[in-house]
Amino acid sequence: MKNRCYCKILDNIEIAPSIHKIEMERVDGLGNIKPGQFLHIKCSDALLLRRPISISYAEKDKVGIVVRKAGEGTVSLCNRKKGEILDVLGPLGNGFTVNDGKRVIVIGGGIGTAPLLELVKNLEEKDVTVLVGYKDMPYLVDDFKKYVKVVDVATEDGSVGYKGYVTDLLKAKLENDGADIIYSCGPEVMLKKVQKIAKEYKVKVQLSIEERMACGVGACLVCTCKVKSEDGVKQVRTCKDGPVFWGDEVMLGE
Amino acid sequence: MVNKIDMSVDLNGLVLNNPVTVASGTFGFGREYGEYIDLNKIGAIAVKGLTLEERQGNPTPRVVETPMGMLNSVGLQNPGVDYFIKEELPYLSSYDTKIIANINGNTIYEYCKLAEKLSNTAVDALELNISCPNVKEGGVAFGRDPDMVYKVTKKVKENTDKYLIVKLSPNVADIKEIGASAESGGANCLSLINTLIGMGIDIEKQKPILARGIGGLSGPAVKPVAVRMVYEVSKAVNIPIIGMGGIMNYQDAVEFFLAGAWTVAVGTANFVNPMVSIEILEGIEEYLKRKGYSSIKALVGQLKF
Repeated sequence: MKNRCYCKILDNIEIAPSIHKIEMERVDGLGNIKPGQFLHIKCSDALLLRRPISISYAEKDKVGIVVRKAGEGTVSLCNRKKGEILDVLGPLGNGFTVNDGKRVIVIGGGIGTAPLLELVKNLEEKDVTVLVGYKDMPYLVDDFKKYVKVVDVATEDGSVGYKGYVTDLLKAKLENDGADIIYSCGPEVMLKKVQKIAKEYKVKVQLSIEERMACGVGACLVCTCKVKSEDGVKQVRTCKDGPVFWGDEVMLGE
Repeated sequence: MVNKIDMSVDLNGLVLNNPVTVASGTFGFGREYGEYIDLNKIGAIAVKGLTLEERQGNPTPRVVETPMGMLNSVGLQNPGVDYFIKEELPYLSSYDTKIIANINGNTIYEYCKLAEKLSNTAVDALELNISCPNVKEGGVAFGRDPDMVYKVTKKVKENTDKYLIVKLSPNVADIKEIGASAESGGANCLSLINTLIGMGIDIEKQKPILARGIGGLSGPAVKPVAVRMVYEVSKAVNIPIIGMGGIMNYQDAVEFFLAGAWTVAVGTANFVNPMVSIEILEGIEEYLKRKGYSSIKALVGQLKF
């Protein structure tokens, strides 16, 4: 039987403005963790619902999440102190499929770069290019560099790396070298672009999407999204059937 | 000191192993929570609201966090009654728990058709949902009018031999009157409350947060309203009541029993803690022991003034 877990916070540091890296104890209950899965975390006693937060990396004795202060829930979570105990459900959801293809592009945008770290760790012996894009100040770039040689950065204001959108880098990379598979996580507008480019270059793509959730386990049907199926359009649950979907199936923002 | 507590409940014909059930729309068709708890241990499962045809529901966002509550606007997304009977019911039937099919129509005819379809199945009871705030047609419009409540209850009762529960909406002026109408229509039991209608606004975008604008409020925030309504209706009818609305722990559940509920249903709390229904059941048992009761029945309506 699955259970709730209580994980002690080992560290909580602000790695960029409003971006926190929180490391917690990996208790036995957390079991196996696949890249792309998430934790459903009770962020504070003052809030009723849990918040789904992607697992950024998992080690033998600790699990890391990277959180952007966006609303009340994530602000509370970022304010939790080292030594406090987090009430956690997980790991939940379906993660990335990692055994497809040799030449891999991993492309992330903003806080969507966080879950890609655990993915990259699991792509050993493959030819991996990481492309990451931010508005201004990059984060996690050095963490990616621990596992892969090529990490190209784009910033919208041009302060670091390529000036512009990370999807421009994707297009250039596909144009020059091609790829067998693309993995992506980021804001919806970026994912839509990645989906379109992947289709144009006929490359398989997996997208990790985001939706407001209540239960996180597939019961409440709050986080529904649409995918194409043999008999038309099917509604699925982002929490249980996703959050990672194949790009030729998932219908973004529809 | 009593050792063995009788936790079974006879709702005048529907016998539950224990008085802790789960509310429709908060437990899917049981599968997901079956990974966290032994479904044999809960008294009944009210399944996700069913309609005749498959229903897509409302656009997302469908949920908003509110102070100690949540607003939802799922809009009865479900695979349709036939799919439920074929694909979901066999799974649920393998457990020793009662199955309550929550049914939703746009017209009296549709409610009757749903009741007919479920009549020769393993479902133990029907729950007539005349109080869903998240659909345009039917839903709460039925539940607000005492004559309509009487009519739809009577017609459905004529079309089924199944035990019939009528789920009441709190979005009415006088819930006692609605409860009495359902009773005269032939309801075997009442369940209350459904969600309260609410709204959440994003002040930066100056737009509603839910795609559909309004939604149903549930969670601890609604509990006092629910307890009051269970208390009022229990005085006005002679049929059993399933009490629900913001039950998060055993103490909340005990309030409902004292107010006159025979059974309770856990809803939103499942989203926060998948194991909560079992914890509540254990807590009630401890409470009964501590207070010297030998059965859950003995606690019902024991509120002292």
